[in-house]
Amino acid sequence: MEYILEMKQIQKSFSGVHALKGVDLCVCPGETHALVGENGAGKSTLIKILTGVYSKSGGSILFDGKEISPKTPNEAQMLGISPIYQELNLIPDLTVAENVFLGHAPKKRGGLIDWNRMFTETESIMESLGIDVDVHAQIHTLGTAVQHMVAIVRAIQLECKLIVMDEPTSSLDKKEVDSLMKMIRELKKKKIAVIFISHRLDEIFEICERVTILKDGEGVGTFAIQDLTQHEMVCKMLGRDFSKRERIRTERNFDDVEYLFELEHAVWFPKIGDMTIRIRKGEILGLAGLLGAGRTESAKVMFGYARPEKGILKKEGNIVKIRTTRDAVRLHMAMCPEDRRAEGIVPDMSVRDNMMLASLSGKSRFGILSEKVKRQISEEYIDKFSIKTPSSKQLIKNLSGGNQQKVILARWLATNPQLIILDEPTRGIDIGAKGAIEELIQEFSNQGISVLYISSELDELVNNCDRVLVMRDGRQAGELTGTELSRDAILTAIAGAM
Amino acid sequence: MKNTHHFCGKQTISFVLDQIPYIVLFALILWNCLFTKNFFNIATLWNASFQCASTVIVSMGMMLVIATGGIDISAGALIACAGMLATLTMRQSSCILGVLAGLGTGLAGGFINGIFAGRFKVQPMIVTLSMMYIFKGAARLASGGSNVSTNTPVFNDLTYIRIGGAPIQLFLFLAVVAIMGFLVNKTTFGQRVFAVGDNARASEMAGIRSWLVILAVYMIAAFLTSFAALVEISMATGADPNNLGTGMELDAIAAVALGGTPMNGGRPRVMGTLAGVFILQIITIMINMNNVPYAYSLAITAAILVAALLLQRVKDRIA
Ligand SMILES: Nc1ncnc2c1ncn2[C@@H]1O[C@H](COP(=O)(O)OP(=O)(O)OP(=O)(O)O)[C@@H](O)[C@H]1O
Ligand SMILES: [Mg+2]
Repeated sequence: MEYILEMKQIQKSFSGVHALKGVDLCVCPGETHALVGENGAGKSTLIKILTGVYSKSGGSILFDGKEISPKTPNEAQMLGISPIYQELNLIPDLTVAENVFLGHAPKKRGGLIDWNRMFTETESIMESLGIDVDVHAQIHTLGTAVQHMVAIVRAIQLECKLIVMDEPTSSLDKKEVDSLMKMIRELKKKKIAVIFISHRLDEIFEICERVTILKDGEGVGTFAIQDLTQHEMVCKMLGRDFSKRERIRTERNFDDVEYLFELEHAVWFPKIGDMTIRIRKGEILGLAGLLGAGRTESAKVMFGYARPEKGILKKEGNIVKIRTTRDAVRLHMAMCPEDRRAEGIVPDMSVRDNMMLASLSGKSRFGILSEKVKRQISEEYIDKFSIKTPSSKQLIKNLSGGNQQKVILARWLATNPQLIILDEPTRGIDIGAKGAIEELIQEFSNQGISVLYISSELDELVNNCDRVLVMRDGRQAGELTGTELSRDAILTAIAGAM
Repeated sequence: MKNTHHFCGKQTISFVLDQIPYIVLFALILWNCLFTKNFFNIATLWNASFQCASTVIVSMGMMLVIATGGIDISAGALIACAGMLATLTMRQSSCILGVLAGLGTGLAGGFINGIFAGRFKVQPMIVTLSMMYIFKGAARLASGGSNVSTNTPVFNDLTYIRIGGAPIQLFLFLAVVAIMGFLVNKTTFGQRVFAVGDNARASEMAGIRSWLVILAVYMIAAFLTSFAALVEISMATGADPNNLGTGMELDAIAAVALGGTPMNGGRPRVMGTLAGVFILQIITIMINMNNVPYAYSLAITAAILVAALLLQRVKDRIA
């Protein structure tokens, strides 16, 4: 078969890190090709080379029969390779159509923009893909999923032949993922190839024809999806046998345990209507709901990052003052935010310093935190979470996405918290590490640490939590414990049939 | 596959770019030793210490402010204001009270800058611009617009203290640099400044009260600036409300930029900033000793500054 893209023996070294050691990736026209591997396996690096963000240290790229070596993302775009980044580079205040045609708007004679053509052409592309979006709407009024689609429409308008998506689904909820999947199927019909990176195997088995597996910067191989089971794929990714754990949670009864933290009747206009969260000592409490249901906002209110109009917080039955995140740290709360790039990492700081950021007051003496303590703690966690980094002095921005997430988790564990709020903790984390994190959460709870677990992955909630609160439109829409706790029950509660 | 070992160009380049301030400084010194008469002489160092002590001190504060993503353009005017109030107090009462008045002015001004920039999140440019007018106005109002001398010989004579031949100014600014180096590289405060400048939201999520860090940074900067004002009035035996400190904030900002502290916040570079001041100083000396008109010195400074900022951008791009 003729390939549209042949990447051969691609190598990439960063100082001290041999990220890619000769990887092959071949993609057929119109194919949806999955790229999988552990955190730090080299997936993002490989596609950054393809899209001109990094230059390769060795190997060759054949695209559409010609040898290419794009130096900038723009050059790659001109060749017909369009990346859809996680942080979409759309302009929020412009309309859908303006974004689609950004930089090359159709012109009338005399150089004026031909607005009519712009809008009708955008509409016709949208129609051909079966998307129903108002092309006159401003981007910022649309949801993330729709924005993804606009980015894809833009790529099509640029007549690209290959779209590269690096973890496009990690910030989408189930419904949005479905509409993205539908769109990818339409792309297939148009003979546009897609490279699809994801840690969610279900999606890969649903949409992709073939998969290339990376491990530690080397290609394990390329397989047709129907020749593999999920289990085989995971074993190849991890390079060892892996058994998927079912519900880890032992049936525990918390009815007699006293409450550790109670957030009562919080109102934060317009995101939270009236929300009460009571969490017991050692309990793992899940928060379920759709995107925008107010889960993250409730967590932020609890953590003192947002100031609600109404509501009180109690610790062990006593009302406590919480006005800033620092008060929360003093009360022994910890919070891993969902948006790690914007709210988690300090990019130009080392892994070590990032890990100590929440312990600056707690672990220092006279305003000084000794390098020895820092080194000890950071190396302990690097080991525990198998964080892939050449040393604890590496800048965190040079780590792969999943490994950055692990550093942020470590930052909070180092503070010895009594309550840990985890907002989508497994987002962007590979299957092996996900298991490790889930085990860790159980371990906390056995030590008496409470966990507030926010996740869009229902299986994770069911497997890990003792109790789940379901939120809808800023309010509690249901509460599930013990045997009533199941995937279906959560879905029903989210849909509002209770 | 011929070679399995690869050099990483980018990392090497970015390391070299970090060394740029020192390379430029070294090149300038070398060039002057070879081509400028009388440059290679210990007296040049002593003279330079006289001339750049206050700029070094102001730049160290400016560096902290810029590291948090802010800017302080009221520094020059604060020198005039703090210098004038110190001078007037000295005339009327004692040397000690005069010094306290100067430093107090700095702390108060820094507090106002910091509260508005940190707590109320007003654009630092606007806050410090307003403070610049206030300081300038206050200096003129207090003095009636004319020069005032300290009339305090004890204080004026401090300028001439020499230790082992080296002027006291050298030791003053070295002490400030040493303290700043410690603060930035060894303390948790230094980590907070870096974190707030690099990613303010993430720092807040990590329990750092960014507004307090910003307040502290403006107060430290203004305190150092008023200290520099004392150094200046001691050398000049008085204060000139119209000229004292004029343009100092620009020299300081230029030195910080040359030194490699990111202009939109991030890791503060103490030694780089010091090198930045020296670079600016050497250019001035070079021009003076070679009888080149002053205007050229400004043009050369501007060219070097633009080049330094361009290199910073290159580094951002490749990193
Ligand atoms: N700019 C860089 N400088 C140094 N090392 C880097 C840089 N970028 C990536 N690396 C290293 O290269 C390796 C591969 O990283 P990459 O981001 O490609 O992983 P990934 O497969 O996308 O992982 P994830 O699933 O976590 O996103 C990692 O070990 C990472 O630390
Ligand atoms: Mg990645």
